[in-house]
Amino acid sequence: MIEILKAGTLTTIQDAGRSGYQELGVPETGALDKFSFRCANLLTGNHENTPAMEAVLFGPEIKFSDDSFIAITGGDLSPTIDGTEVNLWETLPVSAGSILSFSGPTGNGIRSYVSISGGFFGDKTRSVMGSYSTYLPGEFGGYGGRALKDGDVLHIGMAEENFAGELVLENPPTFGDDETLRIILGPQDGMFVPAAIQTLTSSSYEVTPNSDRMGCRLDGPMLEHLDGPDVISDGTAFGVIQVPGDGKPIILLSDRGTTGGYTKIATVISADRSKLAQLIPGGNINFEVVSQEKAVNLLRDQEKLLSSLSVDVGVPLNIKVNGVPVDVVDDEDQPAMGINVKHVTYKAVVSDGHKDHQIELEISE
Amino acid sequence: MDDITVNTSPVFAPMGDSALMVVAGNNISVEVNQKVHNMISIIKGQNWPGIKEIVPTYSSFVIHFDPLIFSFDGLTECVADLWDCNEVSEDTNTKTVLIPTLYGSNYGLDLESVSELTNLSVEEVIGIHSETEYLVYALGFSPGFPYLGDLDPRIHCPRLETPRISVPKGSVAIADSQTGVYPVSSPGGWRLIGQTPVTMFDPNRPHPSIVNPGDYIRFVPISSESEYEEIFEMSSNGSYEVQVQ
Repeated sequence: MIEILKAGTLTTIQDAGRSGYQELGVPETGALDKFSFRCANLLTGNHENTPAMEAVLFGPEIKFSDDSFIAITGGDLSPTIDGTEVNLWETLPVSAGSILSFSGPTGNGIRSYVSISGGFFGDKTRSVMGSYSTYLPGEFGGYGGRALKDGDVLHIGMAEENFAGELVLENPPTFGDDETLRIILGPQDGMFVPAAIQTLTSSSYEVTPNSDRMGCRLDGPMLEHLDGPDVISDGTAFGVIQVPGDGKPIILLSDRGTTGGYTKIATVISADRSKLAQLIPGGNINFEVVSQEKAVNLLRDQEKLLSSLSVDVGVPLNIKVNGVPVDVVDDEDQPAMGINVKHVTYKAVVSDGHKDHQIELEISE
Repeated sequence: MDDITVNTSPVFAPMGDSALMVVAGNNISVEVNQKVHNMISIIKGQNWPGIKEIVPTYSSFVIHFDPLIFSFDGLTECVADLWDCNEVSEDTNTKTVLIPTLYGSNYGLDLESVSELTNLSVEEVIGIHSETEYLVYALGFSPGFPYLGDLDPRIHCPRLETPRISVPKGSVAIADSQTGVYPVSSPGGWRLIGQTPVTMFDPNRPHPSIVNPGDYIRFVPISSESEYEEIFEMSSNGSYEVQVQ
């Protein structure tokens, strides 16, 4: 159990996000900086999709009631444990009564991820549409569908028993206020005047303060459309750069609408997702066009970096019944994030479309 | 841009390294949208590795994929190969969902204005709106909001000049050639003509949305407030089952 003494600017429970519900208009949601989120989990012996905290700008103050391991990754918001500065990107032991706090951003990113061995579970309930991620506008997921508040108490999932607790990520990413984001042109670069591509790739754009989990809004030279900004509403993706009528680009993020009616000039590559999520309001960015091949190679390199941290944490649980994800709990009603073979049976609730049935899952070696 | 036919071959538009937009046509039409839904069901039936999800909209769809498992070039090639395949797999039997709706008065604040704008009686507007089976082109805008078409041209009306700050949950509304239902209370500029007591979208249900893309909706007029309240009560406690044809 942990207690939130102070909630900070905007602290939410997030995991890797919702998959498979965009066709119902449900945003992807989830950790904006997925690399840092996954890394935090691996550093605490968790499966990489275990719910963690995403803290923005001024982080929370948290009191632990048990000995455990935590990790802090992503942007550097100056974390301390019991008043002593601690490193990001490594496993940190905490004791019962320890207090983690943050004194504020240092210019190296704006979003920190805090994981704990076993994972943070908002209110011990079932996940919503296959994810524990908080979706603030829809008021669902995470801790009762909202950001954490002072005084909230969070439950900790079951920790991996054999976790050694001494991991460090070598050569972690750093984030600044003058970044280059690599892009692939499209899907609708042909709907802009040819000079617009030149403008996009040769100008500096400023990150505005009204950026949020939905989108990163930029200020800079206008990107001119050939024949107006509107398209028949179509799909979106993380990192796609849409350009409304005012010609100012908006880079769409995790909580973006699943459909959009503005032309989209280019898309930030997956390997630069962390940089994009950590952009500091007031900072500058430039864009550089790369090929599909290069984008995939960069992503592969990033995955290699993460796999250096991977330890065997059992089989990740991703069980679906007729395509619908179901939540599985162990015999203590704790969400099971990975199958521990020492447990013989797990429980899950499945629905036949009319009512819920509790079933038992037996796992054999 | 007046071409109303389905593209004879798919138009591919990359959306970064992990998403591919596939364009089936360049207009809003039942024909193009059905091609979208058919292609998605055919692709899903292939069980390709690395496909995360496929999201339909009016005239295109987006395939989200893992480029470390399935290459962009491989994916476009495979989709192009399937384009002429018109077989629809069995699990795509789309359904028509009947949505009970109380029209007018406090439940549809703009029904009078629609009647005036269209020079039709309130009864005629209700009759026209409830006799059509509407295709669910896509869901978007907010979780569970169905984009429905096509509305009978006799009741086309422009959006409100000033959008409402809050449209009540369940509001049935029209705008130009479209109609839809607000699944949750939200801001909105469409004209409200009625309200359904049925919970269209609930994030905590195993199947959160009553309708899926490609389904059809028909609005069935409710005769009284007491019937509305009765269905509302049942829908809220989970005991109401929508009628499906």
